[in-house]
Amino acid sequence: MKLSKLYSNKPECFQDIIFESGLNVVLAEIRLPENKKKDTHNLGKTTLGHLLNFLLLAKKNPKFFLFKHLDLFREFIFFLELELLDGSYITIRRGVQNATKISFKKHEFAQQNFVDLAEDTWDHHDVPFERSLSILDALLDLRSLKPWTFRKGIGYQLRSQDDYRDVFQLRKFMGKHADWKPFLSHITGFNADQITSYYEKEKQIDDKKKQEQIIQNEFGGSLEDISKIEGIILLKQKELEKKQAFLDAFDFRSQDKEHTEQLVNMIDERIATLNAERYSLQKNQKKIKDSLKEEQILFHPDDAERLFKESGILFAGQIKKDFQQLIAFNRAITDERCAYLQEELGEIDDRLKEVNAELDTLGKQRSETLSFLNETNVFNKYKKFSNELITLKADLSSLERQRDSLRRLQELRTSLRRIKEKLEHLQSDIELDVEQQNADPTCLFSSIRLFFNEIIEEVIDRKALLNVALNREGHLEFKDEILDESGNATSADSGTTYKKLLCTAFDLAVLRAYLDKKFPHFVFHDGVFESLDDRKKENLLNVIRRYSDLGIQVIITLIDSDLPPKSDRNKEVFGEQEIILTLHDENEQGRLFKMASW
Amino acid sequence: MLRPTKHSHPDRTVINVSLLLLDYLKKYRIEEYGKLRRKIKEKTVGGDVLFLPALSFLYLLGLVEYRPKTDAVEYTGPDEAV
Repeated sequence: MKLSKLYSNKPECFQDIIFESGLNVVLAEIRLPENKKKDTHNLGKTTLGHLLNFLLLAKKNPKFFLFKHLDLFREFIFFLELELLDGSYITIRRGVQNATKISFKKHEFAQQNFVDLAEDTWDHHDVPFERSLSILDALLDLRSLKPWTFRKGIGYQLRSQDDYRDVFQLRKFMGKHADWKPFLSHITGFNADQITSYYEKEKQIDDKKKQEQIIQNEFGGSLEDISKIEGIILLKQKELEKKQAFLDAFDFRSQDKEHTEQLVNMIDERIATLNAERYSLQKNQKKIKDSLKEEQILFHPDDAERLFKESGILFAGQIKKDFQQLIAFNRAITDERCAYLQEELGEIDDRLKEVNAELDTLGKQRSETLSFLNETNVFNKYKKFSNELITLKADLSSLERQRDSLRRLQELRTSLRRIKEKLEHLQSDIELDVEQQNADPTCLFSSIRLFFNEIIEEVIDRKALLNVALNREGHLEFKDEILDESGNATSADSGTTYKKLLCTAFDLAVLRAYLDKKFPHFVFHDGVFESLDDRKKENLLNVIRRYSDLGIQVIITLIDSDLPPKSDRNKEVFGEQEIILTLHDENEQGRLFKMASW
Repeated sequence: MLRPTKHSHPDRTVINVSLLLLDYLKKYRIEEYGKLRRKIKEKTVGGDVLFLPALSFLYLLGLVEYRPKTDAVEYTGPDEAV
């Protein structure tokens, strides 16, 4: 994937930018003497990178310049044409006002202008943001990034000034390491699955520890108490059984209430029978209702015809006719069955009404009889025992809850131990993988390492080392070091001057290693020559040119005072073809957006 | 297989399942294969069995494309319904 063209619906304010497939230079000329000493020039070099990021579907951010100055940019609609790996093109349309609705058009030829393209001619028009991401990710087909989307690595392709602080950790990756280290290890050729699951396991351990703390805070006590609690439960259970037996043995007949008890029994029995009948009736009722529902036909021949017609498919009335006949046939055979089912349903409903009415009467009778029984002394005793039984049961259930919590604590600790064990295994696997990758001279990581060193050596005549190792916590650590003449690490890489160079070298080395794979093949480096001395600028430019010739699209921005020296007095540093955009500070026409600075 | 017979239930045919697929994809433009299959299964009895034939049918008509990077099905027919 490479950039092909960037344009807008307002060419008078934002001129078309056509990207070359190799080196692309955005040159800012400081023509006014009073601006020469200024650090910032506000011409739009960096803004161009941000704009590309916006069109490559960056999330809407209110601090982003287009939305911050909505009054200026409300009417703008931008278009980015991308060259795909198969040689075809795709144009992305994203407006400022409706920035979460994006349109796409695939086409065969480059340098199109789709500003006036009718809505229905776009392949996908005004698609919501999340869907747009899926569509673009599917169309770009950058399978080397799988399982991540193309957005994950876009920061390495579009390095802004803020992203030169660290070679590996971009500004947007300031959060948890688990968010970006698996991805970085994936593109540098390590086993990312292992690293992802390592972070997952660590998170599981954290969660379990939190749960453990919660249980401990809620119930107190330690695992030693579990035996004590089991003992108390046993004693209380015995007492409960004793009391229950006493209650069960309570002889109602001896209290001369025989006829009352009989009455209760009979009523209860009848209630039970009726309940059983009601259950079976309701079950049948549901079944019949379900089968009546099942016979509905949801298919509508008219809708089918319309939808296929809309999609450009015509069946010349065939579908409609066949299905209409079929529906008629289905209706005919189900109509008869429906009638039977309806009849049965009616019978069931009637019977249910009767049963419910009888149950109501019986319920009333039972409660009357029971209230009569309750009035006797015997039942006062019964009540007292029952109350004691309830207290005992409550005690028991509280103790059982405590015991369950302690058991859960025990289980938690067991699973914690198990996860820790797995974590250790995983760590050994990762160590093994890192060791293998480091040792294998033909693997992807070794290629990136070699290309990286080659670039640094060519530019500043020092060797540089990309280093990946496991730290004490078992996490991958990525390091970049510049070595001195004797091959030892120096602190040169910690200075900002060389940091930018190292970032550039890393991005280029990765792109070169992925040259023949389904991977983005462009990079945007903002202010790449800043603060390098002339000789080194020249060397870096040679490297960039060589990489462009290999098939990597390199877009660089610089101001004229950062230009590398001319090798030939009569020849400009960059060819006319290479400069895709010249900005200057003379007037508004020199800015990226031809308007007053905001 | 496409033309119904008197033994087929109108809802359980390739045409109907294709229709459900088409309706869904026209609205959402792209959907993961697994999710799409689940949706169809929920919507009609036997939808999981008819899913692949219906998808193939729509592909033959030039209305959908499969995208391997995201394991998704994209609607590629005319766009006027959006």
